[in-house]
Amino acid sequence: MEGEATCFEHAGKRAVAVCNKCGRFLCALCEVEVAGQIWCPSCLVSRNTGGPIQALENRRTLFDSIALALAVLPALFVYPAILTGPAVFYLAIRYWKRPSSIIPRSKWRFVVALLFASAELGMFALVIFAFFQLRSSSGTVQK
Amino acid sequence: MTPAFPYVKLPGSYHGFFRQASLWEGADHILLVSGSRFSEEYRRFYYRDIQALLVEKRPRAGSPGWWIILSILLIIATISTGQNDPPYSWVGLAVLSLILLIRLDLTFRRSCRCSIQTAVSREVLPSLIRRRNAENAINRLHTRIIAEQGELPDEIPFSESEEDVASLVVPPAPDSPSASQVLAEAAALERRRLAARGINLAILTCFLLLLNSVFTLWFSSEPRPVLGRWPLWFGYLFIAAELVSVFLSLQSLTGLKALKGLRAFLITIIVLCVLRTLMGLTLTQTQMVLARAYSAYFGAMFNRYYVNTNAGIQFALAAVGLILIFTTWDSYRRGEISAH
Repeated sequence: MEGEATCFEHAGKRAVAVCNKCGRFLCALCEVEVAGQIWCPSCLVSRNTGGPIQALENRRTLFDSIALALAVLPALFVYPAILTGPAVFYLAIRYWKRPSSIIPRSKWRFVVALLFASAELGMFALVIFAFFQLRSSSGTVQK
Repeated sequence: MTPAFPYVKLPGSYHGFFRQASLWEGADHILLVSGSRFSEEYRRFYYRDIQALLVEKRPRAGSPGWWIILSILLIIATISTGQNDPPYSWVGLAVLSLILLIRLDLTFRRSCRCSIQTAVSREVLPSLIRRRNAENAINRLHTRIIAEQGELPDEIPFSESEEDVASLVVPPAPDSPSASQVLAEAAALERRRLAARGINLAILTCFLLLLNSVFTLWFSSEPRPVLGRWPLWFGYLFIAAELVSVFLSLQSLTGLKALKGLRAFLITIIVLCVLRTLMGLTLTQTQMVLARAYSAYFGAMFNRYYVNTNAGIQFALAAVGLILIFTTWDSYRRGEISAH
């Protein structure tokens, strides 16, 4: 081994590759092939890659579909919409920029969910306004 | 700048109410996307690891949700056609019936189950349930896999008929343990195939019973002194269809111990079909006498009583059958169907 490059993790083993992220020398045991690149185990664990590794992802949550369901389904029962409306706004704002699916997917679900939630909350605001208007007008008549 | 999307969609996808799946072709792997409406799971199969792509011809119904919607729409269209006389009301019923026939054809004649075989596992591809899609997808993957793994030493000929396939298989020595194992596996596979066909036909029988029940109620919606000719012919046609479906189902289910209950149910349907036919014939003769001898009131009352009882029996039978099938569904899907 004298005069030869050795693995960063295993000093007794010959280096066969270089980590594409940190440049460490790696033996055959340590080299990990990810998306056509060679990474060392440390970079893989610390996600030293500037974001999630798409080639290793095995699950994603579809927040746009959740927002759409929260906006549309409670509308059938009217009252839950007062709680789910703000939740839709939270989800849409919080996860707007987060990639939703590996496969191509547009933002229309978020847009429709926001429109529904706005309409629902607007209706509730209108009902509350009308309620107080009626109450104040009936109070004026009684006086 | 966003990088170019690295996948191309392969033919075939599954869109259920709650589950969905699709298959994507990547540079060095296939991506299987499956999951619910609110989350997705990803499986990657690298071309270098794929040992085989298996296509089993078998009935696949697809999403149960769409079947439920189609059935509900069909029932609504039937009732609506029965209540409204205008000819255009038949158009909806005809279109829905055509869709039903196409779906039945797809389910029974053009469906399959695809799997990917690797060194460590065999994974089912839920997006490939139609044969044409499966063939197109495999044709596209074939070139990719060959590019990665190289050509097979001898090209295996593709054959449709079972005789041709059987002629290709060299019969193993009868005394070797692997031969008996292979034969047992083949027998189990055949039992499962038969059970699948039998159960699907039993489901079809239940749907026919439900449809017959709706038609029967529809015909009884207007008071008539005697049963008309069309209602009777419809009734006999349905009974004939039910009998054919039951006999074919029983033929497939013979000797399958786990499905003894279902067989008893199918035999009950045969007995009731015969009784209903006899009752219908007797009633027609009686009505002819009644209509002549007594007032129309008794005829109509008799008619309504018979029709409602008939519809009730059909509905109850269909419900019992569907419950029976769906309670054994899990064991059927796991292949726990033993002979005798």
